[in-house]
Amino acid sequence: MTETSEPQFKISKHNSERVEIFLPSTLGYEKVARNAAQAIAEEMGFSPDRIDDLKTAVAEACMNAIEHGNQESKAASVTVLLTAAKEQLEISVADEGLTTMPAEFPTPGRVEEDNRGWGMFFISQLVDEVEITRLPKGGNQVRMVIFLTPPDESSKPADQSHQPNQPDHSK
Amino acid sequence: MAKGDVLFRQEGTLGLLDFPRDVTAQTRETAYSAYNELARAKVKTLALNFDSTDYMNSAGIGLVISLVEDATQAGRKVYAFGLASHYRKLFNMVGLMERLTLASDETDAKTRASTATS
Repeated sequence: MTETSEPQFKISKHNSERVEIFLPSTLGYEKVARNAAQAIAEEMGFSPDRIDDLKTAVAEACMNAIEHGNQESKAASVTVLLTAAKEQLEISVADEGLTTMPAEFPTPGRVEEDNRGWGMFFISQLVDEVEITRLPKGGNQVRMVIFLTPPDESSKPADQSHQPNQPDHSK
Repeated sequence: MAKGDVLFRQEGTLGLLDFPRDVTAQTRETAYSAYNELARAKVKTLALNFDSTDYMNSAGIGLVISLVEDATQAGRKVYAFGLASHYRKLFNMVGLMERLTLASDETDAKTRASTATS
């Protein structure tokens, strides 16, 4: 069978297009959202490096929702909404809020927790905008935005509003 | 052997851990089982083989941090090879690149390990 590079779908350059995915709260299903994000980002023309960043951020947000927000409950699902616009891809990952995300995340990589807890750190480093909110109906939502042109590569004057969260290295 | 198992090999004083396609929290048990076998065999250097790894999440990276910490505390030098550029970037973010030496491939890791222990 001959491989073809023809796209399987077309994303509108003029309108936002939305894809919604519901995941069971079982670890491993984060790869479904990761693969969907990859397919959309490739079609939008994101660079391979940016797609790798996006895939990790989406997988980590889904893992947080599955493990923490939904406590891996079979009765709870994770809702992933991917919104493709002209110059950006927005991804929101919502859980059912069986536990509330902390206002501040503990320092990642603590030995007593098997050096885990790097998920939110990676997300904040790999996408251009991150926002964590408590939904009115209950549940936590992580909203992430990644721009087609990384902010530091654009020719616009310095605009701090699109800068990713940076850890404080001054301490 | 399950699909996601970490396998181990020993070549002289070098121990090799062959990581599977997915490196996640589920990898921890077989990774430590394999590492402990190599530790019992008193290997002096350790090489982490990521040639087959396609997906590594934060729990998997936490596992690698734990293994590297254990190995270095036991006086073993650690090498890694087969890492995709994205995972080199993540390793750098968590400080792993300062605690292990990247080799270009298995042959390079063996050569470096041999030089380090000679």
